[in-house]
Amino acid sequence: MSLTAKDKAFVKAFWGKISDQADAIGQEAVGRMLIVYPQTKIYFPDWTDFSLDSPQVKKHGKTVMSAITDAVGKMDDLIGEMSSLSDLHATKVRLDPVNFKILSHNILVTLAVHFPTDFTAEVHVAVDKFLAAVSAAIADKYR
Amino acid sequence: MVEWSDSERKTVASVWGKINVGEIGPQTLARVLIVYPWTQRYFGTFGDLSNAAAIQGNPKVSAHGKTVLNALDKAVKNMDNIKATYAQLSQLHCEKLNVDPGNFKLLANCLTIIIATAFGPAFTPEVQATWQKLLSVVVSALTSQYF
Repeated sequence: MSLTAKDKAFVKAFWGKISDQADAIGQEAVGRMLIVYPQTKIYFPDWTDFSLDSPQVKKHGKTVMSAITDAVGKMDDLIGEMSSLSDLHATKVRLDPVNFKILSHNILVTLAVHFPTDFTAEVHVAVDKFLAAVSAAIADKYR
Repeated sequence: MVEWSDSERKTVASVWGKINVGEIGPQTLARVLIVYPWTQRYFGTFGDLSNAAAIQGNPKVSAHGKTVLNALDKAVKNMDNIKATYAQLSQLHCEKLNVDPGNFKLLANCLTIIIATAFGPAFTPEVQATWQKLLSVVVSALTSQYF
């Protein structure tokens, strides 16, 4: 389900509104994921604190959301641009692809909570498609 | 059987008590039809679903959205027996409506997002977790008569 010009425009415009809160959004999305879908904790065996304001959650939320914000500028060639992240997730992290949808859902929930007026139906579908495209790019090297 | 703590029961009652079915129902169904357009296939008699504005202004979408969300009341009022409560609805969706069960999850996710929009930060991760549990049980119950 490729990104149309309209999708890209919606994503860029919305990201312009949220980018200064990107780190906090990432932290909350990862935090929600770990609480609502506790099986995801398996990927963080050395963490000691899975609460929303844990420094580990904060750091990882920032890492993930920075990469996603980066991807906003790379929508014309996500697979090419995210190739090394794909290698990492395929070989080292070995993240079960079902988790892309889980994290994406929690990013959308976080956006809905904090941007109720801007996160319209049309923004929702564009961002959902964008996150799916990013997920596909990261899973590109899986097999 | 699904176990519910007192705290979870309180959370479910509290969330449901704050939901305006007349608003949230229509918004949720419209959201599903917009974000997952293939679901429009199930609503061939609804008229104009050609764009987001048309869907959001469509009176049949609005009416059916209320019907769907009102059905969630059965789950809230029968938390200890959701599977039996939804047996007939499950059969209906399978045998008569031929809805792919994957779509129940899509609707559940859209409902969560619409509620998150309405509640804001009051939709804490803990509330989300309990709500997700309820919707998962409902989705499972709706799928239960399929095979």
